[in-house]
Amino acid sequence: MKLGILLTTSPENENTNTVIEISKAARDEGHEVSIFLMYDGVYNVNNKEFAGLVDKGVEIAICAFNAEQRKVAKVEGILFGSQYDHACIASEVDRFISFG
Amino acid sequence: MTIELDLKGEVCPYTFVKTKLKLEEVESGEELVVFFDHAPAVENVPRSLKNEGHKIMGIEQTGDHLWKVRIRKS
Repeated sequence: MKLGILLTTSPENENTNTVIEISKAARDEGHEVSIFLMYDGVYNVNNKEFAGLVDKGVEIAICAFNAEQRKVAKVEGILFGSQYDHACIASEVDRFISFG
Repeated sequence: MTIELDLKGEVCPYTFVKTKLKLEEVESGEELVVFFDHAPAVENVPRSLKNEGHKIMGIEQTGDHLWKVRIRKS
């Protein structure tokens, strides 16, 4: 199964840990996971555990415009994309969960 | 024939949406030249359009925070 996740809150919010745990569990079960970050969600790329999801095979894309507004620097392995990538994720996955 | 689109002052996601809408007016094989002043759009719009099957003929920085992107419609 393909799972899509939208995260719009910053790392202090409990949503970050929830997304990390859901993503790990899904990957452990062999599911594909794609995450899109926007608004304050872009700050999550600076969270070590969250960014580490890339090493577990999770695809992470973020809104480059929101990142630029918040002075979030590029992180290797994470796509600094656009709402086009968000739309692609939403159209390709079997289930989509939004955390805001 | 080359059609031009001035998207200076526009930001994501309008840069992609307006480019895509303009491409609907362009015949297959014709070129659309788009002007951007929003840096993230210069990377993301061409990447998204390539994903849609169009060809990026060139990306040129023509000034301080000003770029010209040439797109050939598929």
